[in-house]
Amino acid sequence: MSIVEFSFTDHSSGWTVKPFTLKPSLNLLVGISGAGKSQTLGNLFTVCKAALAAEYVPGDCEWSLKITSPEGEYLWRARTRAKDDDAGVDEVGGAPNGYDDYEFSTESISVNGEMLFERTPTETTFGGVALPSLSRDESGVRLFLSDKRIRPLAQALARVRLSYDKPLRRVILDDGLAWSKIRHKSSKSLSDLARDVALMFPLKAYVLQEKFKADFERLVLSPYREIFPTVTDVRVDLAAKLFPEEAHRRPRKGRRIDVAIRERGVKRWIGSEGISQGMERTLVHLLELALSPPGTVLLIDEYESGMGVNCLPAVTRHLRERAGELQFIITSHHPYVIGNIDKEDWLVVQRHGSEVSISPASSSPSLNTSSRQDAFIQLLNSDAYMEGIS
Amino acid sequence: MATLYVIVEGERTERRLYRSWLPYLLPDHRQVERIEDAAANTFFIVAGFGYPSYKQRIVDAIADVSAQESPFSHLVVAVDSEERARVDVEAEVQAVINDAHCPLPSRTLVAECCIETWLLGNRKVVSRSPESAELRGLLGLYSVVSQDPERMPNLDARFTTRAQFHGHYLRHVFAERRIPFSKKGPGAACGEAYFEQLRLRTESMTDGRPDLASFANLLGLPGWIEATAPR
Repeated sequence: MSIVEFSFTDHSSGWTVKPFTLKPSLNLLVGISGAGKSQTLGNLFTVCKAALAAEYVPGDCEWSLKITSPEGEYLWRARTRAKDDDAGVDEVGGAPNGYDDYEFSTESISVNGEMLFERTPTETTFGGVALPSLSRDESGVRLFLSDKRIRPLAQALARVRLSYDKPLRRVILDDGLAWSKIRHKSSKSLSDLARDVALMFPLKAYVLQEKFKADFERLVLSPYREIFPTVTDVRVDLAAKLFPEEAHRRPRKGRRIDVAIRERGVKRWIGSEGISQGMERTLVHLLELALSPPGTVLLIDEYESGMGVNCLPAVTRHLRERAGELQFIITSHHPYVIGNIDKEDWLVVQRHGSEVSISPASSSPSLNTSSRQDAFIQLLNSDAYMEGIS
Repeated sequence: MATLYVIVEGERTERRLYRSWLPYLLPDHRQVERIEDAAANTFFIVAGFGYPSYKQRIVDAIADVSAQESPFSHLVVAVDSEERARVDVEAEVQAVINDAHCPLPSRTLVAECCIETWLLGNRKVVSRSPESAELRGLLGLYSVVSQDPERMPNLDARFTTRAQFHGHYLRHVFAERRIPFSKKGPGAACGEAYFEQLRLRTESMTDGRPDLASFANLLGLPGWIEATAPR
């Protein structure tokens, strides 16, 4: 699956991302700082989350999201509104950031141009049949998750992942490791594991290490050691096992899992919080690439952040190798990244006030050139980039 | 009739100024956005993004102009001397051009000390009795009205370079007149009237030597093009 087109408006602030199209493989959002690259990625991720999470409705927003999947082309449109005060909103213990203060006002889901689900402020229909009133706290995608015509859309949206959004060191249930191994007892290959998008990322990495050792070696350990020759080993395990001095410092509930590295000349394991940001990001990217099933959409903000020239080229090469099988939507300012991703894959982000426009580099005349000047320099010299905010 | 490939050292200011100023010098010439659009009476500008990055821009520009059927007739490189002697900077640029075997006539324009220095040469824009105490102080230290801005040293210990001091001076000159100016938007300095004032300034003298001598090299561009045009 891949995202084909997206647009977004936050009516409360006026923030608007005008409709733009994406390629199924690699999309590099380029633009000066403040043009709206990161916020656009954030809007896209929020919308995908709003499709599947209960009581997670971004306030007073409107969007349109078109995706392709083997089952067809889906178009999901929605508009949200503040809940009526009289509707009895629970003000205690709700979702964070007031996401439970809003509800779906209008919404539609169509596949290949045929309307499946539609709701107006007063009516709801599915397949053209009027339905009784349904919860407006949940999207139509979630409400009809089990319907075979909606399920592909839900599955596709569940595969939109925001890279590096959570730490590798996490708290899991006491029996989390054993449970995750049992969960994948019958998995025959890495692709069975990769398809399990519901499993927490560090636990997925743990199963990869334990059950698919050759894949772990080939896709994570070996490339990581190639990038960082001083690293001798990578291990996913309970923090208490990796760092015996932590054994007595257990969280109140559950146990901590971590991904640690071993370096030549260093006597003990180094946990994810102890390694440099570049080493950590490299590790995360390699694990993400190994564990993402085909059809995953990976959103990577500030892709180069923390990564030096010793790791950026290799990680970029690994990433490009999976482009197409996975869809990447990346933001970057780095000359290496920009210079090593084909201009065909650039999307130039410009902002006029609160309105963001995103267009392919090929539509900017100055970027559509065979000049020998470095691609990054061409970008910096283009008016589309330089006049990115007005 | 010329087709110029122009490399300017800086990021934004120079690119904006040169694309405005070149048509004042070469009235029938217009800017093109891509080398593919270059033809007779056009110029293409690339911002070099500072020293030493601009040296690679020169090498890449020479690759562009060396391509088969390249329409370019002249290469122009515009840089700042900053803290160095102009002759040294010019020699360094010329060495890059020579090493890359430029097939075209080339000219290196070295601003003494930076493009902001040139902009200080407009006498009309400098207030004689400023409200700003800072500008009064600056004029007291060195009057860019009566003395050549290109020969102004760094007179303020807060700045580590002459270029920083000249930039500071210029910002106060513009602020006094409430003329918007930034590196991104040199505004009024792009205009023909401003350019004309700089041209006039080259006819003035300080201590028996002409003012804005390095700017005068820019004014000599049409004559050089004429003299080096392919016959």
